[in-house]
Amino acid sequence: MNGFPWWGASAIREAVGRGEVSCEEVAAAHLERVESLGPRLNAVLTVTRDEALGAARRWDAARARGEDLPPLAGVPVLVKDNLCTRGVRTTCGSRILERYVPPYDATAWARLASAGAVLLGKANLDEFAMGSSNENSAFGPVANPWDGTRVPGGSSGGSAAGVASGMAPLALGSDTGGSVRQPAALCGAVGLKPTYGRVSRYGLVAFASSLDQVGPITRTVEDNALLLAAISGADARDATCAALAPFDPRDGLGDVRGLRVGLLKEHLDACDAEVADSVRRCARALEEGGASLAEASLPHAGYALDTYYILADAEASSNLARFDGVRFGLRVEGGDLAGTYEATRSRGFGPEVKRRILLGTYVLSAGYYEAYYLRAQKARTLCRRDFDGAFSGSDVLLGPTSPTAAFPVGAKVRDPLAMYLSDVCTIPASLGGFPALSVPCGFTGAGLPVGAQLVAPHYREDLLYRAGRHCERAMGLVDRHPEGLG
Amino acid sequence: MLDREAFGKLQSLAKLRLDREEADLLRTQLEAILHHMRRLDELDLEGVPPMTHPATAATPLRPDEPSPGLTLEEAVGGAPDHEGGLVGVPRVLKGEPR
Repeated sequence: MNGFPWWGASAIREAVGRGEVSCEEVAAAHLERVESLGPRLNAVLTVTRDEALGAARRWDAARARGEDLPPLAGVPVLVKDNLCTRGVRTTCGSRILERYVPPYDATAWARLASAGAVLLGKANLDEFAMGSSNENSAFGPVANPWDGTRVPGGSSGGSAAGVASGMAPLALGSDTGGSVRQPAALCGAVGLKPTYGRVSRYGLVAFASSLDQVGPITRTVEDNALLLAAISGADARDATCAALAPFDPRDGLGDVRGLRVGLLKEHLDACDAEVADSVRRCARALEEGGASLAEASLPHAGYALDTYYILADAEASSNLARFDGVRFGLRVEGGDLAGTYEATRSRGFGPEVKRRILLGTYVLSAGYYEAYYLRAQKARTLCRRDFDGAFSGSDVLLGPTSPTAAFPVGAKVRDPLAMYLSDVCTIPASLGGFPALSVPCGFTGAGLPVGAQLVAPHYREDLLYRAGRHCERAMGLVDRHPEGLG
Repeated sequence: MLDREAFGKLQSLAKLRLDREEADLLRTQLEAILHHMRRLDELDLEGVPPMTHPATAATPLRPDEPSPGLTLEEAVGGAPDHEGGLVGVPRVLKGEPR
């Protein structure tokens, strides 16, 4: 089983199809890695050993009967713990849902299961996906596989750390303002936030409904496209999911000749010099592959962060009203109904979630709605229009995913604004609903991964994958993995 | 901008009740964040329409036809207090029996 942790989804699927390995062997080897790395990384909150081995054996039996196997048969996957999994607890990283077991599957996971993927466990996250470092989980922080003293990013920190450490080739995350892309960048993985509407949100526990998207985290661009293909497409259970066919991974296979790449000036100016250098090397690699480079600008980028945190927190304050001690999860008795609401929510939510609920309540309250919420909705229009200008001269936009590489654990926990600034490069695409891909593009002098972010027009994930594939090949980083994990 | 009394009212609206220490910390942090957010006042937003969602492709509603869903027991099973397909709710008015 040497080298097994680093096999990609297609390599596993092909070996299973040829009968060289069984799905059970694959699942057992990956479960062993999940369990051996568990105490060090804390990337997985619930290990689904029995379910995984059961599903793997069913696919082995199907193969033995001569049945055609689906495209991801036997491929191990981690699912972020804010996606509902029927019969498997779904905590959202929160005390308030510590014992919650959903009676239904999220569409993205249900489709992945139908495609043959084997669930190894539920990945740790910032509570209710609110955070950029995974330090807001009620069940403890996740360590970065490249340097255990640093954060993996967030909020999909467990998904990204799990993929980067070889626990699984595939993971599902969710991205509201950067929660797939930023941890992918900080862990040296590939992470996509699909176009808003590309993937069903049914069964994704809502944070900010006009921004949330389920997204794939993988070690290669090819696997990322396979995972998007498995989870995307129209869903009658989500009225915001577009009436489109699933993504076809063959669409992302072309080269980059003739591709017009716009280098995002504002984001390059806002990041560390080492990060900017790596992104510029990535740009040169695209140019050497036949793409053309030009400067691109998002004139309102400086207002995106404030716009986002007003709107996302307003939506969160409304969405999280459902956690009241009556319908789901924890109840703390408080005398009467109002007292029970307050007692349950005050004990069940952590500090960051409370901060955002309070902020969201404030900007929606009488007297402040127009000054904050309505202004932010209008500012969102300006941020979105910026992309019309940028895409008039470019097919894809390129910049850093995160202004810095992974930062030390504890460095920003006392300063929420400093933490929010981690999302400054990922938020604009979220506000506009545009698809955006983070691909590894280099390492800092301290050996920490750096990610480049590519942004494309709505429903043009094919362009992101074309450019991303070229970058990962040209930069030669696919086979570089964290050392010292065993 | 956000005095103790206003912050108390905000907690009540948000159905949260914080102890004094936690409240003072969050109030200070909220003030700083709200101050930062006032940067949007620099923008000329005259005539700019508000954006409520980013969807661009058609999102037709499904046909209004019954289809199998959760059982009653599944639907209420996540509630901390449930019995016979009903959800137990704490009394709404003080002194009222539950």
